Amino acid sequence: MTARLSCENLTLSYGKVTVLKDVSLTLPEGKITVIVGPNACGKSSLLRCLCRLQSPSQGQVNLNDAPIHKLNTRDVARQVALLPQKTNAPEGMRVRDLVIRGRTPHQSPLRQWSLADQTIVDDAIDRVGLTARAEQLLSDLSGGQMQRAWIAMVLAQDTPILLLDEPTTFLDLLHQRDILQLVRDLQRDKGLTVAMVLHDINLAARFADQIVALKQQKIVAAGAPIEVVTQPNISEIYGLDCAVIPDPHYGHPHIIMK
Amino acid sequence: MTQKLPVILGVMALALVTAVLSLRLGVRPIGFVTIFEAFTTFDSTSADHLTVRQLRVPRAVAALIGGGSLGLAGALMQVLSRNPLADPGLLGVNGGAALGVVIAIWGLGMTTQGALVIPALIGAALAATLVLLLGGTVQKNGPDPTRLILAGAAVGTLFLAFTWAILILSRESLDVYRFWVLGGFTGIELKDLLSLMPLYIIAVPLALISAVMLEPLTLGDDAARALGVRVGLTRVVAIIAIVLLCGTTVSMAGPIAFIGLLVPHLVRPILGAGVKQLAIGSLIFGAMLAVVADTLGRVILPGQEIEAGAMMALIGGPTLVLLARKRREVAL
Repeated sequence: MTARLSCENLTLSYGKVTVLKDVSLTLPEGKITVIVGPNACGKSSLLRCLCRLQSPSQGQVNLNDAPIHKLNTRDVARQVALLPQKTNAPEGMRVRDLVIRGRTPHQSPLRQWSLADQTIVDDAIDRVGLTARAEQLLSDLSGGQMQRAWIAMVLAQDTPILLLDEPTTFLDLLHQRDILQLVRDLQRDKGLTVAMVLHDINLAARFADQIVALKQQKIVAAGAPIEVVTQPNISEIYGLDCAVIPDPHYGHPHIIMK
Repeated sequence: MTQKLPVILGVMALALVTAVLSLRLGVRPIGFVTIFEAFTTFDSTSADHLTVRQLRVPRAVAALIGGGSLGLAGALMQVLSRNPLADPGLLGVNGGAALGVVIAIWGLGMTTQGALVIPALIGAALAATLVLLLGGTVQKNGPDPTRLILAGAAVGTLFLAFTWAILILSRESLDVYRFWVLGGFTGIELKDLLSLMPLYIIAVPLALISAVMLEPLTLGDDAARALGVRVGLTRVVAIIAIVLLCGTTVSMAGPIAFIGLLVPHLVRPILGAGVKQLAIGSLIFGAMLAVVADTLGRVILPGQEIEAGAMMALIGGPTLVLLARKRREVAL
C-alpha cells in the first residue's frame, strides 16, 4: 500500500504576504521526511498544502499524479492522514471514541460500522500501547498518552501517507523520543510514507530518512541527514554557529550550539 | 449505554404521562372517562369532547414537539459554536418573529394567537436569511460560527428596535404582544399545529442528520477536514436545521426561554459527549421539560394559568445556577 505525494512550484500567499515561494518536493515512498526550519519559514503551511487544508496560490500538489485539490475530499482522506499541531478533543470523550473518528472517511450512510472497522480500531489502540486505557477519558491522560491516542486516531484512518505537524511540541525529552520511535516503528511495519515538521534538528537527524530545510519560504537543502545537517547549512538556515559531531550511539549528525 | 437507557425511557415516560394528565387540567376540569370517550365515541355537540380534541390534545402535542425542537436546536447550536452558553435565539430568529407579530397586530389588526403564527414565521424566516447572508454562509469555506453569532445578535437587536418603535406607537399592540412574548402553548388549535407540521417533518430529521455530520467537527476544523469532512457544508446544514426548528417553534408558541440553553447541560452529564446522543437526548428532555412546565403552570396557582414561557423561566433560572455551581463544565 503505497501512494505518491509531491508538489510542484508551490507558491502560497495570504494577501501580500508570501508564505511559500516556488517549492517543489517529492515524499520518498516508504520513508520518513522531516521538514525543518526557523519559525515562520513556511513549514507548517507546506504540510497544510500537502494535505489540501490550504489551497496554494500557484503550483499544485499531486497525489498519485492527480492534482489533490481536484480529487474527492473523502478519497484524499483515505490516502493521506494528518495529525494537526493543535488538537482539542471535546470534554467527556474517551480514547476509543477518538480513535473511532479515524474511520470517518471510510464510513457512509450506505457503509455502516463493521467488524473490520472494529478490528482496525482495536489494532490502532494496541499499536500505541493504550489498550488498557481505551475506555478512559482523554482528559485523564498525560500529555504523552494523549498524543498516542491521537496517533491511534490517524492510524485508524488506515492511509498509506501520514503527515504530522510538530508531534512532539508539548512533550518532555523521554516522551519526544518515545513518540518519534513509535512513528518510526509504525512506518517500518506498515511501509508508511511519513512527513513531519520538527523543531529539534538532532531528533530530525536521528529519525529522518530525508530532511528538507526551509528558510524564508524556500527549500535551501534537502537530502539524507548527513548531507543536510552540516555546519555551513545550519549556519545559513538558522544563523547559528555550531559544531556537528557524530552522535555516540548511532553516528547520526548531532549539532552542538556554540 | 446499558445504564443510560433506563434514564431515557424514564424521561420519555414522564413526558407522556404528564401529557396525558395535562388533558384533564384547565379552566374546565374534564374526567378521564370523558377524555377517553372524546376519542372512542366522539360527540360533536359535547363541549367537553370539543375542548379535548380541538384544544387540549393540540396543546399537549405542541408542547412535546415545541419543547423537543428547542432542546434539539440548542444542542446543535452549542456544538456548532463550541460555546456551552450558546442559545438558538442567538441566530436572531426570535427578534424576526417578534417584529412579524407586532406588524401583524398593529398593521393588520390580528389579535388571536392562532392568527399570529404566519406573520411570526415570515418574520423569523426574514431575520434568519439576513443572518445567514451576513454570517458568511455563502463564502467558500462556509460560515464562521463567531461571525454568525455576531450577525445574529446585530439582526436580532435591529428587529427588536423596530418592534419597540411600533409598540411605542400603539398601546393595543403592546397588550397583545406582551402576552405573546412570554411564550406558551395556550390557544394553539389543531389547524395551526397541522399547518406547521410539514416544517417539523423536514426539520427534525434534518437536525438529526446534521448531528451525525457535526460529530467529527468536535475534533477541530483541521482534524475534521483531514478526515475528509466538508466543514462548510456541515455547518450550513446545521444552521438551516436550527433556524427551521426555532423559527417554527417561535411562530407557534412565542419565544420560550431557557429550553435551548438548559437542556443540553442536563443531557451531557448523563449521555456523555457524543453529538448524536446529545441531540436525541435533548429532543426527549426538551419535550419533557416543556410539557411539565405547561402542566405545572395550570395547577400551581388555583383558578389561574401561568404561561409555559414564564414557568420555564421560573424553573430554568434556578436550575442553571445550580448546574453552574455543581458542575464546572457549565461554568466554562
